[in-house]
Amino acid sequence: MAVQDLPELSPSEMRRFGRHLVLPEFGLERQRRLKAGSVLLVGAGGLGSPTALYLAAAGVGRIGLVDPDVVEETNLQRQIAHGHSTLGRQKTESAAQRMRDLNPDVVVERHDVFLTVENALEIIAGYDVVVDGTDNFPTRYLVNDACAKLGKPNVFGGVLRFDGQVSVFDASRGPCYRCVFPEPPPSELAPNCAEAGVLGVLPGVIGALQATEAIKLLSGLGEPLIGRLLVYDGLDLSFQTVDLMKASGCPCCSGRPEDIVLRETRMVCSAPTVGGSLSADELQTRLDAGEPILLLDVRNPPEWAGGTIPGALQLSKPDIDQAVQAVLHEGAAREGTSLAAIPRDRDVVVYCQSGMRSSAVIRELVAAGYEASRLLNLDRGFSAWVGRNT
Amino acid sequence: MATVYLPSSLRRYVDQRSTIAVPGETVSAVLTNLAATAQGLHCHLFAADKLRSFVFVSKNGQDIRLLNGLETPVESGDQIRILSSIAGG
Repeated sequence: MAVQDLPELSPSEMRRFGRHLVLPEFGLERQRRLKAGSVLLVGAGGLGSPTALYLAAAGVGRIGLVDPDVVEETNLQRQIAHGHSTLGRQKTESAAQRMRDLNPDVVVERHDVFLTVENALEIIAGYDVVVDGTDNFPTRYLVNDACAKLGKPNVFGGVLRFDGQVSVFDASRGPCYRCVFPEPPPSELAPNCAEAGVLGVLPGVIGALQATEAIKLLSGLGEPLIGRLLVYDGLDLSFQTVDLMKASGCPCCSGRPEDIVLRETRMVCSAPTVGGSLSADELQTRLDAGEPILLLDVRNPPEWAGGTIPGALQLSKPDIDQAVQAVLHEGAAREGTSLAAIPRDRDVVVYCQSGMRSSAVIRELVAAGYEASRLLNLDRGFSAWVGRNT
Repeated sequence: MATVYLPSSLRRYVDQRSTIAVPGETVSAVLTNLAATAQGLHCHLFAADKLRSFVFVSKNGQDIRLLNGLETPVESGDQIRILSSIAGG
């Protein structure tokens, strides 16, 4: 946009953004570019929270938020745009309230939906820059493909445990996400933050970096992180940058943008499915009928403290891993390990939070001599049970 | 010996160490030698002897595909970084 077409700042905005205006490299023109600019945040959770707050505070004129979820207590360890006062409310509504408190002039547009193949192009087309702060692979690939097709820069950020990654994927000027990671991992090798954990401050670090890149892209300041991946290690507190390359055979961006077809990315489990499964409804029916089922909760003690299915035997997956290892490789007798508490003569319903860890435990138990037909995985785990009973 | 950097999700295979010195004259040899220390790690890195599509490897800060892929020569002191795609947000 030509300088003469940029919106003027009001006296209030001149005061508010004074610390930007005194930066010689930033100045009035770049602040006006922020006011004229728009950013779409896909995800208003761990990464989206700091990004939304900093972009609103910095003076970005229009910010869109895409998130279908409501605020839950487990979010508050890291999702700082929300609070106890907004528990149960839409995340977009909760974040918008905080953003307007920081900057009453910001225009916040709420999209309380999942980003899908059907709506992605229409939603993303309305913004200058996209910030990917989602929590799952299918949406990340969808955001990438839609941005490549529309020629939008995609400020990527990912977190897990203590690790973070940041890049700017702009297929017109460098590699896209698929150039670096052509396909998602199989589901058993792709734990989410609920399964693998995340240090609460980690998305704060990475989200703030994403906000920095979005501000640079809108204002034309500095060198964007295109063609480079920033890798953050929270344990040794190191930042490393690696050079990326645009893949000549990239399934997304090696052809013409207009030829890119959005497709749903499905997560596939490459490990063989062992044992059976049942839904939360089916479990309730069998419990109501008084069937002698053993419930086995393989989550970790902090998760047990947040609630469990009454009567469940609590044996964490690491404990079971260790016991199976001892039986299979160290000649230990099953009765001498924690496996002794798991009967072999009746059905055992194994559950974790979402059904992934329990599926792995069933494979281990079968390897340790349990009959697969006696082992049942609770579909979608404790989350499904809670969803059914609330 | 190259120094291999592992993301925290893979450190359980190497006694929670963030770096490990591994012999090998190519990136392929270094990764194969590393994976020989733990079956789970091999499964994470390779499928049918090809690097899995969600695993990214750099040598001295460069995507190995910018060099010679898995056949990129490795000299003593080189830094090999393994990254896995992560989707948490």
